[in-house]
Amino acid sequence: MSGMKNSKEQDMYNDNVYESPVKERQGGHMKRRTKTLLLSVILPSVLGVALIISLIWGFSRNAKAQDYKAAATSMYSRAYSELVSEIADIEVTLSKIQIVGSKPQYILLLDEVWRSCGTCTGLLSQIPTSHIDSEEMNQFLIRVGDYSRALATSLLHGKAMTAKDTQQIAELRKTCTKVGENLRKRYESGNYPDDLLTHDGYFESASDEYEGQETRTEYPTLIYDGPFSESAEKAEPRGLTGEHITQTDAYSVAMSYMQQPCGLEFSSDSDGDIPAYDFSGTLADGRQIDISIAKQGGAPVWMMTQAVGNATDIPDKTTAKAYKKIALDFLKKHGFDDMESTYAQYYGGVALINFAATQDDVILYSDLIKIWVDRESGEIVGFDTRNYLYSHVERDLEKPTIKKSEAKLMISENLNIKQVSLALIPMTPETEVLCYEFKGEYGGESFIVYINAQSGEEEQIFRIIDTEDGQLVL
Amino acid sequence: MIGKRFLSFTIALVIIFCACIFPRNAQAAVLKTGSRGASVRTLQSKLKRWGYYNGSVDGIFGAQTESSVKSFQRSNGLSADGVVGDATAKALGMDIKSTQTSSSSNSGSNSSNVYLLAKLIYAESRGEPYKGQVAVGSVVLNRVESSSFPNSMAGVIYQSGAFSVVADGQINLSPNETALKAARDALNGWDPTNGCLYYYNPAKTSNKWIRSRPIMLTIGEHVFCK
Repeated sequence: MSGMKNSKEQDMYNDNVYESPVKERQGGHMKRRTKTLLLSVILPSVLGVALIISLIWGFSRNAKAQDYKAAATSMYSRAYSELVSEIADIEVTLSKIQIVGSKPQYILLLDEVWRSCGTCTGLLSQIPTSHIDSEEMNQFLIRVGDYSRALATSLLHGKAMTAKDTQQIAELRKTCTKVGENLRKRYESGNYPDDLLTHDGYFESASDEYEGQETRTEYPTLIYDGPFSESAEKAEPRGLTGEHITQTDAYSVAMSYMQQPCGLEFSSDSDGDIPAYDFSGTLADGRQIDISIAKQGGAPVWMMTQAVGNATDIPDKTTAKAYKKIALDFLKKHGFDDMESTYAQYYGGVALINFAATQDDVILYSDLIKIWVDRESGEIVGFDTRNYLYSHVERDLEKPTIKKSEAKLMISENLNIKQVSLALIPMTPETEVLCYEFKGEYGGESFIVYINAQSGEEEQIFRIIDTEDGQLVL
Repeated sequence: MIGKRFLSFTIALVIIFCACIFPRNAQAAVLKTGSRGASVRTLQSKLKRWGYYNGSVDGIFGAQTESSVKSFQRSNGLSADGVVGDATAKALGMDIKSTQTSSSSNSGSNSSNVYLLAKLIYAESRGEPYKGQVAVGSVVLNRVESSSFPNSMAGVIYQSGAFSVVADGQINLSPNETALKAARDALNGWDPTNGCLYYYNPAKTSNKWIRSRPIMLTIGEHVFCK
């Protein structure tokens, strides 16, 4: 046919046709080779390195965790073994008390029991056991110490050991022995460090570990007069008088304390220490106000709302007096006569003033009412009468046996006396003592000394600390 | 191409991983005009104690605070720029590196008690109504007074298993003004719980033992028990 290329051209054409795809394929091969290199060498090595880094990191974290565990375990072990030995000491001291003859020795040994119990409760709180398990032992230790102290104090004041006390000591010793035994067995069984960290019923379930199934340790009831005694913890409010009132009546009482309209409504029943009705409302500027009225007699228990201002500095004397007057007027208006201001604190825009009831010019320090005065608006933004409700009764006050001038002689010469008054101060939850209260200064610091008005003994010494909030009594 | 995507994804993964295992550097913090919070309060009370500051300790860094910082810096040979950075903080004895660490330089055991209680209140009940926050504080104080619990505030707060915020570290957050005020009110005796020793959030607890306690009252999300 015509137009046929000669074979050479044909070949060249053919060659061209064949060559280019080959060339492209070779180029493609180049790119693919890099890709393969990437995927089969670089990527795995990067991942391999990452894996090695993770493993190293994992091992180092694990090692650190083991260190922490070891440190924590050794702290717990120390606390536990100290507890075991301290309880053994208490048991020994109690056994000595049973055979001691002289009063001074009684007092010294009782004091030692008190001190050891304090150490034990401190150690108990260092052991990571759930408070559900340690609650009874904690209570036992605190009360044994409290009881010993109360006994020692009464012996110091002239009372004698009674048969009841001796019997009580014997019972306490028995319980201590039992408790000590349990703890020691646990300690010797050796597994306690792990259990410590897993909080597994640390104290009582120990009986699973070894034979001799003990019944739960019976803790004896201690009857005595001290701050942690059962009677103190279950005390009834003595100052609460009157009949049970209805919620509606309580509402009227609550409304009488409101200084502004606030849409007060019933919020809930509050049946704790002092059964009461709780009300709450909102003031015009959005602040919430809460108030609680006792179910018995309708006494006000507490009220609280926010202050308008923010002042935190200590005011000058005139302003402080003005706050006191506002609070006193409020108290008088609501039937709390004969209250005298004692201490004040200033923080968060309020002046918190403490008032104590008075009777025949004697300050009754147990009967305390706290009033919070808003420094900016002059309103009462809070009050708390619970201490008053617990202890306010008409007292049968004796006349002081010793004269003021005689009491003054009992004070150290160092004290520069500024003010003297009579006060009834609480010694134990159930006893109060009439004292002369001497307020004075020494070395630039303020102190208060209480001298027993009947015996002339020094009952208490307090130091007044000036903080940025006001005065603290220590 | 799939290979490329896979590669970049892996590289990204490795970078994230490396960022995770190496500890993050704490944010460098300064206190200056406009700053607020517990650190500013500490700053103001320190300056007040040393006589540089006369205003109120309200946790708000304003002009007055700034000028007192300048006076302090001048007296101590620091550059007087009114900003509390590392050098000034060091001279003050303050730690402002991270707002998450607890500052602790308050004097007197009373203020450290207030601060500790405030930290617990903040950790446990921020967001609750004010009454609920004070209630948390009163539960702690009721426990201190009870013979069934440790005798000190620190003992009660740090008691094993008592508060979950201690176990998970939230207790180390800096408390806000509300929590501090709530702590003070609780320490001053206000007890909206009427003597309760326990509380829990019924929506969040399944612990059988605490659910068996008699409920006294409810405030916000918390139920209070004896």
